[in-house]
Amino acid sequence: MARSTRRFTAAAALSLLALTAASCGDSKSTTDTATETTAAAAAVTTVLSQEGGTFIDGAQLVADNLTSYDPGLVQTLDESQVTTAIYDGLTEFDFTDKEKPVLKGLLAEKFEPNADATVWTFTIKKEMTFDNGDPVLPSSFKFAWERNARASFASPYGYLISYVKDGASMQKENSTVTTLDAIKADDEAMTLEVTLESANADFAAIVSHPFFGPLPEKLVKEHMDDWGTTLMVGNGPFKMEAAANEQEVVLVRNDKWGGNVLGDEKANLDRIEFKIQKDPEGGYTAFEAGDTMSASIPPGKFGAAQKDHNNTVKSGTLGVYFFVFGFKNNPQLSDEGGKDNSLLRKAISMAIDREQINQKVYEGTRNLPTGVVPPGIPGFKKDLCKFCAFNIDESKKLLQEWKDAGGTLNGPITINFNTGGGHEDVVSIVQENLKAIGIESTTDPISEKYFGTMAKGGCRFCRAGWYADYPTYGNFTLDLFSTTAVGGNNNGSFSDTKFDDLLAKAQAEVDDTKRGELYNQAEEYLLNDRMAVVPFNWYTGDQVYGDKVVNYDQPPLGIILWERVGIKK
Amino acid sequence: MLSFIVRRVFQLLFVVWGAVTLVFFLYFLLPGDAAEILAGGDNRAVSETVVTNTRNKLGLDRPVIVQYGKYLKSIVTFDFGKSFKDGREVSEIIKERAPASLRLAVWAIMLEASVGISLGILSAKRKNSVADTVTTITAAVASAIPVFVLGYAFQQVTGVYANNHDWPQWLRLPVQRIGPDEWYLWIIPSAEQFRYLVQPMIVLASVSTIIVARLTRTTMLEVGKAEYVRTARAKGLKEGVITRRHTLRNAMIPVITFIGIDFGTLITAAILTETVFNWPGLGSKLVASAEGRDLPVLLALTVVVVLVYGIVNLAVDISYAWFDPRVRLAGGER
Repeated sequence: MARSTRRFTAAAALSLLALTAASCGDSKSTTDTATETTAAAAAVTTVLSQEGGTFIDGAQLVADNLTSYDPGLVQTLDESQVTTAIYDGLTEFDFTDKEKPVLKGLLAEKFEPNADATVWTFTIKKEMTFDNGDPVLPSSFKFAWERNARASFASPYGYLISYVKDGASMQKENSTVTTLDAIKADDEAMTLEVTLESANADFAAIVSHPFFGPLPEKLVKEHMDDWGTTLMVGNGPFKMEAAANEQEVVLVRNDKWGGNVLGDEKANLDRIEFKIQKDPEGGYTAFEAGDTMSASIPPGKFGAAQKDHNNTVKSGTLGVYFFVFGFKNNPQLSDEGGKDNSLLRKAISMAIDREQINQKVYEGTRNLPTGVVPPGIPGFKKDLCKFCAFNIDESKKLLQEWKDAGGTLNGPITINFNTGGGHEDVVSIVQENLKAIGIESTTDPISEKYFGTMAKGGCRFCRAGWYADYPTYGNFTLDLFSTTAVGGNNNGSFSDTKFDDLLAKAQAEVDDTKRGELYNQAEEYLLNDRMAVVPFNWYTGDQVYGDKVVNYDQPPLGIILWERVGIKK
Repeated sequence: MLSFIVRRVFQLLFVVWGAVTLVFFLYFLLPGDAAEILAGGDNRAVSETVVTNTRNKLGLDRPVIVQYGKYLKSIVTFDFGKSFKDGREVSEIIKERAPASLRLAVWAIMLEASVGISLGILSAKRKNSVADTVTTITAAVASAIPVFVLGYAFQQVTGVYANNHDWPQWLRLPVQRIGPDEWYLWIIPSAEQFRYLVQPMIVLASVSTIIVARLTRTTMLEVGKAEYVRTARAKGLKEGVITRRHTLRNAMIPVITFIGIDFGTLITAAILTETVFNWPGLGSKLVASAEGRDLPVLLALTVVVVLVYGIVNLAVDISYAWFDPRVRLAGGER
């Protein structure tokens, strides 16, 4: 109670201070500022006055997408919703300004690279504890990283340890390496020093991924690989009430939580019940029946959902829907054999009516892209791509230029996509669009091992999608289009030395502004020179929530700030 | 009787072995790389390193015959191992799912048997009457409605419509999940539990109730034509007594056979009902484990399914002897 009283008083003082500050300056800006400040103060007050209650969630967890909430094994956004409510990591992004997120220390009081970004030092906040009272120490991180990175653990994100010097040795088949000297934990000085395999100025952002969170060493050692099946102990705003089962995951407020980067010190809700759904349709029915307080919007229901319920559809998220051209075994569309088919690829990109696809397939809910990297990624720059807007005249012109230069198509182009994801409708419109400029196409729907097949050279003009693992430019460029990603997420097997060099320079650049500019150059080259990828849309939110729910939103990374969600009394 | 039961038990064990062996080797014939799928390869490209590490972790790198031996040993010792998908003990998964399936099936069977047999008797006793015609037409219509459509309709009326129009709480039913899982004497639901049970129970029993009603009607009419029934009437016995003592017991043998087999199906294959109502049963888990290449769960559930069918069929056969004392289970003369 005392803490609540102090927070109310603080909020009132903040409001007063803000109002006072707003009274300075010219009249127009004063009014605007006062209005914004009052609104902001009201929002803060709303947050603080909604303490307590149980939130029954029906949106986050779909059975088929679940394997484990263990931070070392988590691999889907569904699982991450629970894992990030239980575990806090070294850093976290502040998405208050969604277009310009700021990376801040969460458990790290400060974090700094050396001059060439090959060594990072994190100073861990003192007196942080897990929910059972065990201290969070630098060794908690070293233990967790080494435990998660063991080859025998087979973590889906085990490859992340390769950023650390000699980390790749842990991932080799039958590797017996269990510790890395490159990670130095000093529990006295409360520092964690990490030497990287190569320069990486984004490493502080990469460690915001749950893989790099801390673990209570003593407890985890008793269970090791089975930690995720137990009542896990964490350090986040919530803690587990019981071990997860196949019906639900129940979290309760963690009163030992150290707070977040936004200044919140206590979660609003007493309890969250994540109900596991069989599918989004069933979850939506349960929401409409009043059984849950939130739901994912199934395909075809976006119009009704926006009309009838509170929703997050207007919130942009860090995801992109795109097609890539295959650059391996694809003489029609690639530049193999010394050819230059970039004009053809640009023509194809400009022939695609993205607005038509957005309206017909996504009910107008997606955002049209101006590049590959979505807004919300640090360094994002609008309108980078010159060939990503629908313009049939320009498309025909480019196609003609390509033909005049000797280009010929010896048959229809093949469009690959995975079945079962609703992509058939998108592909159907693409085929119509291509036909309008005189390009015939056939489809190659694949039901099994789609991404594996594409990664191994099966891509001609193939569908892909990407949701950020962590909000960095590198996650949308290096991890998708660099030479090192060939055979992995680089579905088109695109490989270009100039592109790789630009990315390497960006990664080594410690100045945020300059790093952003270098990444912009890389993306511009990828799109405007090579035209290796055709972005179709940027993802947006897709959830509804009840009338009594407050502060429910899907931030760009998709992870809901559960500590802020509240229920009106 | 005892020798009959012992022989059937041995036969059952042989069937379990056969089923597990068949499923085990079929698993390795399924398309796709199980390790890649388990490493998340259905939704994204997974590196060879992760696939290899996953394969080694789950023991899928060993020769198939070695894996087969290991699983046979685990089944014999009732140590079904851990789920490939989430690492949970398979026995825990079965402990969660089996009671849910059994309880739903028991209640569905009780509804099916009581309503189905009653309607069948009514139709047979009032052949070609209005009651008989209504039952026949209702049966035709009800059997034409797919289970998932019926389930969805229930949810829309008692859940969505009820919520949107502020029906009183007692008229509104939860549209999914098992609820508080509160039972007395293992099988009697609490009042709140019954609100979660009633819709899946009705949906699951719907098609079978119609079949039981029609089957009862047919067998009752058939048995009603027998000479001993005519004799009983000629002796002046009341119709009710004739029905109870003579026609019903004889007519029940095929009906009991159907109900017995159906009970096994309701326990293990109620996939559509479980999916619509998000009921945590064995059927949907069996499908999910096959799709997700979760071999330990798949094999364990195969054992459970075969055992359930075997035990239910044995109970049905034993019940014949009760319904018809002339039946000799062990064969041969008395």
